[in-house]
Amino acid sequence: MKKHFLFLGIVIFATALSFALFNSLTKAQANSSVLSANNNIALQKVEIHQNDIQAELCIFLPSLEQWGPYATLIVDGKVISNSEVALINAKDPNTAKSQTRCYQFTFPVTVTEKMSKTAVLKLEKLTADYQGGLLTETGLVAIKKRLQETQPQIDFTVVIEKGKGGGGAYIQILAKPDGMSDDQAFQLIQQATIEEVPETWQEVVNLQ
Amino acid sequence: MKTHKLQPILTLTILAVLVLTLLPTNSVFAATCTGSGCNGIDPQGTTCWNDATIANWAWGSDGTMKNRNMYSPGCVSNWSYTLYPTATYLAAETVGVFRYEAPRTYTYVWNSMWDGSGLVCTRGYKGSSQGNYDIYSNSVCA
Repeated sequence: MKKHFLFLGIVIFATALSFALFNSLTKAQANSSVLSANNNIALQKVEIHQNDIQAELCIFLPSLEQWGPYATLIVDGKVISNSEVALINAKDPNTAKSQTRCYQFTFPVTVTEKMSKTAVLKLEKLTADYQGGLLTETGLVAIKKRLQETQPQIDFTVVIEKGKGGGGAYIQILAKPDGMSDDQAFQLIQQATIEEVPETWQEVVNLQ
Repeated sequence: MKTHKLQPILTLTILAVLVLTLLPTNSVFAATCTGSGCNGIDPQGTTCWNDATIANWAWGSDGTMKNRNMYSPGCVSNWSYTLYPTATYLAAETVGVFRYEAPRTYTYVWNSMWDGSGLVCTRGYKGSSQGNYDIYSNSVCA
């Protein structure tokens, strides 16, 4: 009888453990999907205003992280960077759960009659704070580890200071190779804080 | 009262089953605060910071300074977050509510939270000293 109870307990425990591990594993796999360039981007609309042009793109993202897309608009050979990017339905809880998100890009262009009637809209890249960024505990550990792989001689810490009504943070370099300037070290640290996926999608849009 | 020898094992097993099945693997803990209850609270180091969405990005007139309109769905709150690649004088503003002007040079500056149940607009600033800003972003709302 005792053995039966013990066996039953072990079976229930093992089942629950397997369930929890499987659940965790499937979520991790869903977070690591790879973006396949052009098939995952769809232009929804383009709006022309007096002082800007807005374009809406829906993008299948590489993961559920907070990706920030960056786009350019080429008008008459001039490359205009987006000045604003808005996540559509940002406050809908389902938006963060979906790997496909839509963004409205704003390009500061004063529209004139002399302008070309078409432009090239180009999605240049997607960027995200690596592992949540420097201001989270897990992010800081991951970024330091990432930097160590290529720059083992650089060591740094992040100083966070709280003030009345807000706060600020800065990077303090603790060690760097001889001959490397602070600026170079900062640049390498900054690079390690960002995850970047280059994009090649582009489409001709009508400005009429 | 006589206690069965297997009782502690069974109790522990049932407890383990309950914990492992009921606790979500993406652990969701209670939010630090919600809505207007978050007004004036620093988001950094709270659950609000950790679940935040970047609702809107805006670049400054230099094309380098960035301002993010952050929104925490768990805390139903927004805040302004200004970034620059090197340490400089920055400010983060929730338009019409408050602006945090950092007293020294930083790479990242944020302000306190504000009720996100309605539309909240933010903007960022960069300058040569505290309160003296020549670069700023447009106001972006979410």
